[in-house]
Amino acid sequence: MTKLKPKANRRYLTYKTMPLEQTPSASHCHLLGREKEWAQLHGLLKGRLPRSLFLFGPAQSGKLALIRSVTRALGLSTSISSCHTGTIHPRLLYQDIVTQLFDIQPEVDLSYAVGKLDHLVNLVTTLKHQSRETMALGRVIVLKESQKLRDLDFNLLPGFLKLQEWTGMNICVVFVSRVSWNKFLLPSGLETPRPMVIHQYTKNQLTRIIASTLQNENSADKPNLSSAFYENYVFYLIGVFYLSNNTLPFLLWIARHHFPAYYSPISAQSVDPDNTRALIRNIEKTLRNSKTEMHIRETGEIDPSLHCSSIANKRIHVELPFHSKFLLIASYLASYNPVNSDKRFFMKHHGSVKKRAPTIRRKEKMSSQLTGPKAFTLDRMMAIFYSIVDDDVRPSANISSQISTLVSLQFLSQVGGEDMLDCPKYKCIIGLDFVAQLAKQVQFEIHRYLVDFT
Amino acid sequence: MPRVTSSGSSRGKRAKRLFSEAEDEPSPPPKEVHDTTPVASSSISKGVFAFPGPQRRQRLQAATSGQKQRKRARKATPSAQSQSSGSASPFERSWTTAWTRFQTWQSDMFADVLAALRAFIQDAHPLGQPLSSTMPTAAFLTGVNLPDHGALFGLLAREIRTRVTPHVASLSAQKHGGVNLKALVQSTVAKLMLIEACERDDEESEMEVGSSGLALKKQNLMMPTLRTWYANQYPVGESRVPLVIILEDFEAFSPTMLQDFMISLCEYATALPLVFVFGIATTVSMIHQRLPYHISRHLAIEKFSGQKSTQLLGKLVEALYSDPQVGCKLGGKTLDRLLEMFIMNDFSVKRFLLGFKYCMFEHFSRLPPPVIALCGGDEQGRKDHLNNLKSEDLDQIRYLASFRRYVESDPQNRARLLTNDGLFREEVIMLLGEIDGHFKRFQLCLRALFWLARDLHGRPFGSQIYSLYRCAFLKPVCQTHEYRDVFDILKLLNPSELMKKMEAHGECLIDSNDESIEKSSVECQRIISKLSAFLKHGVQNPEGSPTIHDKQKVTEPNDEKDIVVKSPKIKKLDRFELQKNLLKQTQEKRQRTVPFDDLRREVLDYFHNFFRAFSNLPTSLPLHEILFFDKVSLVHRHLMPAPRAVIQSALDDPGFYLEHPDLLVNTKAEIPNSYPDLNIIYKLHSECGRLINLFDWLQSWVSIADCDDEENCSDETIDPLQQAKFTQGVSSLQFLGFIKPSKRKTDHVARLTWGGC
Repeated sequence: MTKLKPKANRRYLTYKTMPLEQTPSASHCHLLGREKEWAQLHGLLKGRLPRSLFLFGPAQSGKLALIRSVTRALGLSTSISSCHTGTIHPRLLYQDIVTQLFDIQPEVDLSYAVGKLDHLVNLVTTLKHQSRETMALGRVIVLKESQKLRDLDFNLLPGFLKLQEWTGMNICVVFVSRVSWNKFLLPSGLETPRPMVIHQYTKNQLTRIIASTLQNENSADKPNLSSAFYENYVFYLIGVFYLSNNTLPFLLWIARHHFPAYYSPISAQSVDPDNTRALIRNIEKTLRNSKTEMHIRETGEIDPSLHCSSIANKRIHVELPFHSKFLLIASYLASYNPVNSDKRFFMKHHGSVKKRAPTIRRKEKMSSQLTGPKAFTLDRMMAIFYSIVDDDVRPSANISSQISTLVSLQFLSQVGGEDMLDCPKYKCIIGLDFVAQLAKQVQFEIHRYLVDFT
Repeated sequence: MPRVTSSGSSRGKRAKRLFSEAEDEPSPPPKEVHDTTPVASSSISKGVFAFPGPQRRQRLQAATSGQKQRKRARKATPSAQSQSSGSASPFERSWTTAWTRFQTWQSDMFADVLAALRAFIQDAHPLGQPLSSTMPTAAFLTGVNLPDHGALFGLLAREIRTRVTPHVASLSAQKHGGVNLKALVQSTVAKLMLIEACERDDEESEMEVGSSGLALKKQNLMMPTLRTWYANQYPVGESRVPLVIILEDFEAFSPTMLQDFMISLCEYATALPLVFVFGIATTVSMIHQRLPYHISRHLAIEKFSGQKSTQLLGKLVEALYSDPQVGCKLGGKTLDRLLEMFIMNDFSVKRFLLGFKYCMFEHFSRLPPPVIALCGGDEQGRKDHLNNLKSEDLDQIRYLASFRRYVESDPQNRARLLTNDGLFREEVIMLLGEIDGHFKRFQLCLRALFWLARDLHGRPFGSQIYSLYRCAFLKPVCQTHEYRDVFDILKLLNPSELMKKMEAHGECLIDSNDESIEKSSVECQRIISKLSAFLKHGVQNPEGSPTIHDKQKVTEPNDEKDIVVKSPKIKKLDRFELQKNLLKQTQEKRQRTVPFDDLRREVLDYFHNFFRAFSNLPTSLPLHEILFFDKVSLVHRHLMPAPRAVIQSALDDPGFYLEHPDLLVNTKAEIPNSYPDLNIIYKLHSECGRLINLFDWLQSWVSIADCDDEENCSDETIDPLQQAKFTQGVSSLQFLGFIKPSKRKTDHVARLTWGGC
């Protein structure tokens, strides 16, 4: 096992952060791999609280766990609430903050307990009123997913930034975000919060964390395994999955998921626990197979009677009525072929295509598979439909009502709202492999009708 | 003109929605549709209908209920007699049978998957363990037959409510998805807390009272309230009743709202035992398309797939034909059309049933009243009914086309049948009994054929029995190419496979108590015993008689061959002779028979005779009109409307379209005064060229519409009323897309359509 050099967190030095004054010993920190950040945050929140903090880092990198651990260690009363609750009404956010901050026993009807909290000014007065006796006590308001604040009422973000000033309390607002501060586009004149960057865990840290978690979980019934055994397993696992997803919860889930399989030769006493190589060879194949479906935590069979070539095809298999299939194919053709190519594909005597310079040049343009579907009018799609469907189909209301069914099944999407009655426009939003599967079922060679493939 | 606009094309999703609403609660008799679902239009055509909102509807209902009842009473009196004499009762009986069959089978078919879902929800949150941050989610793949889903989710919700937990919120995009996130969360919370949701929007003042006697403002129906309520209701450690949220049509929810909704619920994953059921019409991957990874990682998804609707339809079609309670059977072409609509368009069994309902309705309303009681029922009932009929009523039966044909083919009894009522009654009873008997045999034959062909390679008759019905009703099944395919494959089967087929076939025949079927059953048993004897023989000495037989046969041509080979040495090689010899050899090789060949021929002949004997079309028998409905043009016109053609025919020939005798004309060119205004204007416009002078048009309109009073006609000035009518008509034509204003000439409009389409 090679020791990876942890990347020195040099980048956050470019932000104006406070130098660490008194570093508490790492033994206070119970968060593996976050000792440095823990110490930094501890230093920031000790004593007089800053007005606001901005905790910025990628998803699932332990930002909340960090702040929770620090505030608990410092004995600050803390509220952690998600800004998503404010999308329905800011009142919900305020109520959440107040109940957590003052530890109000929740009642079914919250408005009786905390009073009216419809506006920001209510929050400020409530905070003032509640904490008159314990003015100096430190309080921390943590706002999860604070990037959402940008979409809420305009006064929320400035209000939270100035909360300490307005209430006169020892209160700090911590914004936890996945989006950097310069994307917040605030009106000028507001003080920017003190930034703090949390980086994603390094491979080394991940290995340590996951291995120790696994060891804690399994030490009761498998006491004879050393920590090196777990570390070897996790190190190999991370090597396989790190490139596709490097977040801790995911890798932890994967590790837990595959651990019984890894352990099974040992329990059968066919392999020695130290023989890492044999153990790895044992699960190598299952790991590689699970890589394709690892993000999809699904169980249960789809339909055993389906005879599709691969699992991926099985996942997109839909049983559709006959005309719906052709309608989908026609709309796919209408979406991915330019209008001027229709004559070439669907008319009997279209004449020969002259290769002039512009056409050749146009070919070098990006293919329509890359630029995505284009909108088409209903008339054009129906014309294509009638020319590709084999048997004689009468234009009936049943056919056209299928289009709205396809829209509600999310195979087509209507462009420009539903009020365009005389000339509705649609886009086909299905993929090539799905439409190819459909075409195969009705024995239609779709690749011969697509501009990109001819 | 309400009927023209009613068959709107694809345009409105709303139109479709309303149509499916209209089908929501089909109640057995047609006249009650108006009472039970006041929202729904009773029209069978698709289109946009304006309905009053819920409040206004209630008010209207309260105000007009008195009037309505009076009206209905008045309406009922003239037709009461005919109804009591049997016009309504066979229809009602048939429809309730079909509908209850459908419902019980639907619940039977989904019993397995519903039980699995129930078990999943029960075990989702075991009591002892802490709640995990991933929420258990059932992805219920329902298939694309959207109109059937309402009943299915109704079943599911009822099942969960009675067996697992009362806290079920069943949400559909139609009802809840169109509004904002707040309303969605509010209605979810209200349903989970068992609070009767209040429809009205003036929420600030409204106090909601739940089952626990709790009074809440609507604005407080939010997730924190739900959490505290749940903690009070079910204290930690005592019991853990899951809260089930069903999203009936997952695809139809708008993605942004769905994401916000899921995020706001994810917050409470560790506080509340939430379980999701997503009703997905397409594929599981739709979940991952709609929900990004940071949301879907909170879900632990388990897949459940329901039965296909084709299976349900197969059962239903068989039942509709075999149940004597259903007094109307579909003829070949009608069945073909309805099945085509099913297979080609929507896979919806409910739509199929509604189509069947329409056919039944037409059948009973078009039959002469004395005949209706003969549909279905037993022989005694028919006898009683016939004895009650007068001579004129009996004549109506004589007028039936198939009976006339029958009489004309029988010159001896012709006069007696037409004049002697007693004899005629007996004849009718006999003929109807014959149809019943033949139809039973016909069905048995089809079932036997289906069992025979079901697991053959390539499934010539499809995997469900309805496709066989579809074939067999159009022409005698022995003449179809699928039938030939079946026998081609049967020829390739080995003895033991053939034995299995025969045994299955024999079991099919056992239950029947028909004379001719019993005869073939005996024949079948004879062949089975022969086959089994052969099989035993074959097993005892596998290199028994067939191979020995072969050797003898094979040696003969060998001798000849020797001669052939030798002969060229003696005389000059005769190419033609050689060719002849070779041909002879191959033929002999082909003709080489094994004992099994005879047996196989016997089996196949038996099958062939059996199917040929019983597969005559029941619609070829006399008096079949009484039992079979086969007016395919009606089905076409009413169930498969063509949007443009409908408008065209309505404008061109209102007499035909409105089925009004006063409006019928002899020649197409004639424009009678009695036509609706728009029709006159349309007819005048179709006489013009590309550009139409508005003033000339107005003049000719006035000359037709106003020609009653001679004074006006001669007058130079035009009556403003007539002008207003004309203007309105022209603008409706423009709205329908027949003309458009022209910029080339003032006071002219341009025509947009040419000829009849």
